[in-house]
Amino acid sequence: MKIKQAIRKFKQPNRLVLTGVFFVVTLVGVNSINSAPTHAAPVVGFNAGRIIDDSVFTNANSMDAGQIQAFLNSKVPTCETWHAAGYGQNPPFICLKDYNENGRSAAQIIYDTAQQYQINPQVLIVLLQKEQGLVTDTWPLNTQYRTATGYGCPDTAPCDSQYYGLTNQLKWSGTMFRAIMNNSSSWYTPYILGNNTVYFNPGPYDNANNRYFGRFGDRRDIEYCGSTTVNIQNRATQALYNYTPYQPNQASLDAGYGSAGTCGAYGNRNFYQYFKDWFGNTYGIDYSANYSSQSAYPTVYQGQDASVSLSYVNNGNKPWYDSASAGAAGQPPVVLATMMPINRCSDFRATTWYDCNRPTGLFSKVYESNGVTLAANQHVVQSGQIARYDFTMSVPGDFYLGTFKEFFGPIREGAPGYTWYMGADYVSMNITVLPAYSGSYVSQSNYPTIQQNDKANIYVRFKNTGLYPWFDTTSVPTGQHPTTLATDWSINRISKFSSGWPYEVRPATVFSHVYEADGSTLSSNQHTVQPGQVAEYSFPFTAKLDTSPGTYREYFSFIREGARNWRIENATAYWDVTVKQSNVTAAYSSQSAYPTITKGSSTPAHFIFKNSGNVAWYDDTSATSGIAPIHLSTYDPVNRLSAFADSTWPNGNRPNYQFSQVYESDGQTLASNQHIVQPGQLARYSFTLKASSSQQSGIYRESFMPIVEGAPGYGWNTGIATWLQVTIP
Amino acid sequence: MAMLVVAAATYVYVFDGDILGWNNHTATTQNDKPSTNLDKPTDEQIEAGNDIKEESIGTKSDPVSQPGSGKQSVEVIITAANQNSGMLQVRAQISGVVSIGQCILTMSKAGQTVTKTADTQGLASTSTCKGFDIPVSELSTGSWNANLTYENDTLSGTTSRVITIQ
Repeated sequence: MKIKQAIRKFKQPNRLVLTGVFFVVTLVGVNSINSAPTHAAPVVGFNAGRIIDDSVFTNANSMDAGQIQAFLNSKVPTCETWHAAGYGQNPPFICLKDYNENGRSAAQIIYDTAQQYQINPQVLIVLLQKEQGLVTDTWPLNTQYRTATGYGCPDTAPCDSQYYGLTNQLKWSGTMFRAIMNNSSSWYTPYILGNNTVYFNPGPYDNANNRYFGRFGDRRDIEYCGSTTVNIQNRATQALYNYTPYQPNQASLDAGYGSAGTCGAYGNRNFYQYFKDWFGNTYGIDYSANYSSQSAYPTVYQGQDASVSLSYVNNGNKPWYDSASAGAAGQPPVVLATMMPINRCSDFRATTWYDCNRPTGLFSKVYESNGVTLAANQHVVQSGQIARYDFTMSVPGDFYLGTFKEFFGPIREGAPGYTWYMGADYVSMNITVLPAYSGSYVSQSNYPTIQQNDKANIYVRFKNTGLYPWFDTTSVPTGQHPTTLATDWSINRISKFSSGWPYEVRPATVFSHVYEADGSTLSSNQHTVQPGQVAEYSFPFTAKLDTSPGTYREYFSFIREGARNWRIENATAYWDVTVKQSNVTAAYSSQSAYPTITKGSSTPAHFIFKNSGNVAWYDDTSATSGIAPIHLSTYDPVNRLSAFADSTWPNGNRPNYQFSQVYESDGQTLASNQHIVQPGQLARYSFTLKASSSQQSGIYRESFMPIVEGAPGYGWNTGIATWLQVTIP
Repeated sequence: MAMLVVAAATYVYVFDGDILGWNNHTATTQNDKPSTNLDKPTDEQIEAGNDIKEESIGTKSDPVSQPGSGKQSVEVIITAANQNSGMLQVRAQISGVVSIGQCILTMSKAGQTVTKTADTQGLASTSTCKGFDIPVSELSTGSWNANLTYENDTLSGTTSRVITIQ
């Protein structure tokens, strides 16, 4: 590498100096890279009253079987399988890493025992080392496996054979440890929490003089090396003294792993030191939680509740109190809080929560470490025990649909600084929200074909398959959301056919009919659709004169107006609307005779035209929004103000906005609809002509034409005009 | 070879590993789990293990008979005598792993005598009496002489201690 490049890459100026030191140190120490570190140092940190913490002692998940095997492999790189015979045994010698019993490896036996008794497998590994040296032994004897943990082996008598075998030895060790951790009433121990007399040595032997030191000579004198009062602070330490009832004196601690003379005692010292060197600190964290289990992820309808639970194991040193027990204990309660982030107000908070971010402050259940046996105190969670929090998640009625992750974790409520934190993995309770509002298709009107300037009446029916009733705008209770029909794809799409709708994007806001589940029986309430009932909306598609011919797909959906989750699931329908080109034309049929009108008097007149086009005519009575009516207009020119307009005329150039009669094509039979002229039918416009008293005598030609009122361009022209010759004497 | 190792180590340190995409992770959360030591055992650890092996294989001396009793002597010690919540808790340790026999605790003071008995429970390398929790109401305040005796068909042992009741 180039030096200049190297300098530019520096992020911290002092790294150059440190790098130089690093060079020197590395060169000096290069020959020692591959050497194992030496450990002749005295034991540091040993506390006779607190050798190991409960949380560490009972951390059964510290290693799996594979990790245990890898550890055992590392401690005996080379097994002296064919070591020379020794201690009365011939080779082969089987090292612990290779040992099997009843089909299981030693690593597996250690792991299984740890799980069965909820004891840290690292404790069992160190136990095997401290009692028999089995972990580091490169040529162990069969007898060492027979009494692998020293269970049933008193100091001054042969071992009891009922405890022989690696599996048996570990089982009894686990049994005793677990009984003490559980403070089992059926398991007695010489030591209790609090002050105990703990001796340094059971009574040493004077090899030089072939006698025991002390008062007796022919037997041990436990008082020779003395004792101290030890305040045993936790059950794990109590368990270790039950196993090996002696504490190391200062000389033993100063010797590290070595011997310390007459009153040396090494069992608990070795346990402590091996554990520290191989697995780390024997002390745990005061307050720590691990995820244990949870109830299944809930699936809930909008507006409904779900009962869920979360469980955590206390893997700290200190007990947990809930809101029922914390006061008396003078400790912050361990409550369940929302996480991600901490104190997040949950959308799913129930009325039972004591705050928007606190589902519960009470332990619903407290179990022993096996997760099955109820603990004696249901409001205190000791180290290794499991707390279960039961709580309710409540889905608002208009909440979104889908799956949502809600994170929770235990905290120490009100603890100072950051000591509220308990290190638990934040666990999500994934809640799936299903629609409370849904529909199923029943029927709809056919796809319409509509002429320009015409309309088609449409209906659609859906069944309410949700949990709650649908209300329209006339029946919706205060605080709730009415169901309406909306344009869709996309929602609130502008439609070409929206003339006459309540709103441009709302064909209907009131149910036209409500049926019972059979779809035909009218229900008693025509504006509320109960679950199971059928709602119908009716509305028109209106094609204006300028709507281009073609086919248009029009989508509509039932929605809940203004709701957060407004869509009613599975309640969408569409029509393909075909628009045809319209020809609005008229043909002359007949008219009244040419009138002679005396000045100051009036006379009736009429014209009859045939609808010779391909689209219906509407007058002002029948024309709905978007449809141009066919009015009788003055002509020559169009909109000419007539001198003979009567007060009955809508205005001076429009004799009539209404069809006076509508006939069938025979010109005689009255049509059923007197305000719509279908193609082929005839429309009669009747009106009055009046001559004013000042009208000049003469003969006047009054021309008229039926027109398409308001049509763009020359679209108003229906192609026929006619006239009346008016004589004023 | 050593120079190559040094050069490579320097490269990593100076450039923070960034050029080749190596990351310099330092996890410092409260819940960092200590890592297991997979190194070879130290010489001291091996030697201590060998000492343990030799001691466990070594012969054990037989207990000495109690003079006059015809029984073998076992060591009995009072390991705890604590007054907690209105209860005097007296605990004992018996050398040897025994599950048969009886413990007798005799508390005496100025003409008053309180006697309790209990069975025994075997432990890993010793035994204990299944007791004693004595209601303080049965004992007056002051100094009591506590005599604890263990005995079965072949073994016996005794100890005594002064216990003060408050």
